[in-house]
Amino acid sequence: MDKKYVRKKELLSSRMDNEIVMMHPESGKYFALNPVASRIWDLLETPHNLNELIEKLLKEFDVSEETCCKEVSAFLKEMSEKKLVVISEQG
Amino acid sequence: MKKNIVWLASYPKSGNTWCRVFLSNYLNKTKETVDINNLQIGSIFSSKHIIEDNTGLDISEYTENECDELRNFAFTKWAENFDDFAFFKTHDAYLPLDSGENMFPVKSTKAAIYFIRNPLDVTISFANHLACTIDKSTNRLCDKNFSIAASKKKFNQQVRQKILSWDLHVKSWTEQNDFPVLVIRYEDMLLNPQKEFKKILKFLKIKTDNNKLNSAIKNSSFDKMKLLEKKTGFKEKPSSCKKFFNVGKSGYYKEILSENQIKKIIKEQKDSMKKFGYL
Amino acid sequence: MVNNISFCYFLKKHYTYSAFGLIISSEIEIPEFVISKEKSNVTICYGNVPKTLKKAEHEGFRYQISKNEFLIKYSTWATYFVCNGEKVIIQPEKNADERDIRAFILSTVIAIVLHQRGLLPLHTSGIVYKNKGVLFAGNSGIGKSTIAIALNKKYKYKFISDDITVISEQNAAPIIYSSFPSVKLWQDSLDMLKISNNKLPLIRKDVNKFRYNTNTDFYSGILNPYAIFVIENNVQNKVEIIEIKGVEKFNIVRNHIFRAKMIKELYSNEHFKLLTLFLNSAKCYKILRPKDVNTINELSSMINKIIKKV
Repeated sequence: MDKKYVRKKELLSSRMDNEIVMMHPESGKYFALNPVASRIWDLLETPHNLNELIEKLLKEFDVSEETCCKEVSAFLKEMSEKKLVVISEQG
Repeated sequence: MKKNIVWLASYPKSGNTWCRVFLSNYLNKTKETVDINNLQIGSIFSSKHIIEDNTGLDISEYTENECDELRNFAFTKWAENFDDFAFFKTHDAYLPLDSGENMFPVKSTKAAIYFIRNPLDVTISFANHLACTIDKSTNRLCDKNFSIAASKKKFNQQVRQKILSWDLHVKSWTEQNDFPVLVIRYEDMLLNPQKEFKKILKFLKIKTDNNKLNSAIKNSSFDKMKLLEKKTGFKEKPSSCKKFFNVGKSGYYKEILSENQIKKIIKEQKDSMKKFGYL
Repeated sequence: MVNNISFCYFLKKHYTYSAFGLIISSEIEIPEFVISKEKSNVTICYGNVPKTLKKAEHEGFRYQISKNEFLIKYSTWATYFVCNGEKVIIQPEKNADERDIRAFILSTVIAIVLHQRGLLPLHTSGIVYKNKGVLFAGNSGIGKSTIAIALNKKYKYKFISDDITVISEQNAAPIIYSSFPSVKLWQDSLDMLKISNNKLPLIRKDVNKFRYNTNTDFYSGILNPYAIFVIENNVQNKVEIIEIKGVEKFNIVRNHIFRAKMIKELYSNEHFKLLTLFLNSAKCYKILRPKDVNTINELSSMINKIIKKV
């Protein structure tokens, strides 16, 4: 559970208003993040584990801990599968 | 190379769109009625969009003949995206390029269905379509060099299509020997759609399922199309024309055409009119 | 740097032009461009082109492309070879019409030069507002040029580009280079703009589209981005302008990269960087207007208001 996640370095990403658009340079695929996902993405500029992310998000968003945990886990899983975030080597 | 292209060919206003909507409904895997503004069947052989997508070129500043040279290549490639059937709609007369080479991708063609309608009715519907007088549409129908989308004043979404006169159009498709062609009369489709659409399915060796057949006929009926057009619009309608699905009957020319108009058409189009039972 | 001094240089006349932020030395006269005295970084000359590319990544109808090389054969007038964003070689067919040769330098060929240089050519026309660029994107025939000229004539905005507008980067900020002063217009656009076609040259021998020179209304130089309008057809019979925000901005403008179908994804890294940089300092609007209806007055007045609102 202590795994720390961080953005994949090679990704190209840019903020568009309160959303984020990304491109995977190898596959050439594009991804879009909605405002909440974009906030998590901001945090992942530096390595975070699940608990650290949840703690920060709970302060900013009106959401129960349980829902937050479920959603963030799912988000990290999807982002890992799409190779947009990686497990931090320092972590 | 696949040999999967089926041409849905006709002179304009002869039941082509009806058959496309029917086939879209019949071959549709879901139970819903297909969206007439998003027909997956029968992209048109004159679409600049498809030509550009499949050649990589921008043809907005090409001459008409230069565009024609690309159509064979583009539609051969586009047909590769389909499995057993790549249905393409066309109003072009069946003609080669000026150089004598094929304009149509003959090597990828499986067959053609040719829709034919009494030119005396066609001319009325054509006048509505082109938003012109019946005298004018009749002259066009009899013009042996007539082309559509040929305006040189503005950009066209479609490339120029030589359609010739009605009689020459019929002959170009029904007398060619490059691939088999099934001729379907619009009047027979109106009279007995079950029978005619079954004929089409049989010709294409598509299994006939009577329930599906009936529901596809219901969902593509003229009244239904008219209603859908009223509700959502029809993007294939030319902007100057008020309604794409207008009357859709047969024999109504008797109340509308003048004696001279009837005489002119019969005199100039009689070969094919005789051959296909309109005289 | 490639040494551009080739033999033909000394023997043949050549012209030097500035366009798209490039200085182009050309053996072919291109009267549409603005003459320059600076040192060139792109050359255009006649010569023999290779039969094929050594390593083509994509092939289309009579063309091949890799990241640094491009070869296209137009059957009746010429074959063009473009390499490293610096050199264009043209091998004309017998009796080729010079207008045909030029028409494709001014569109596809120059666009490939820009792509090879890692720039972002957009399929837009453009005008100037307070030293900033306002661009109009859209598919062929949608009215990009017409709206730019209408705004120029009616509201005195200076003109910067017709078909292609190039986006680049300077000190980590997005910039727009002006293109050249000439516009291509179909007869129906000339009618709408009340411009007579008398004495206007055709863009190609057999294509009925005219070249109209904006002359003194042309702004030459570098601009910051201000806004981009993407024009589309409306199924409804009315004109609407909607501001676009977020990732949708990226999605709709990306569809209007010049010659996107030809280059596929060869330059997507460069394009991603420049496009997001550009969109972060440009507002983005979608214009929906009915097809084949003359809405030019209504449209230009609506756009003028949007541009001028603080």
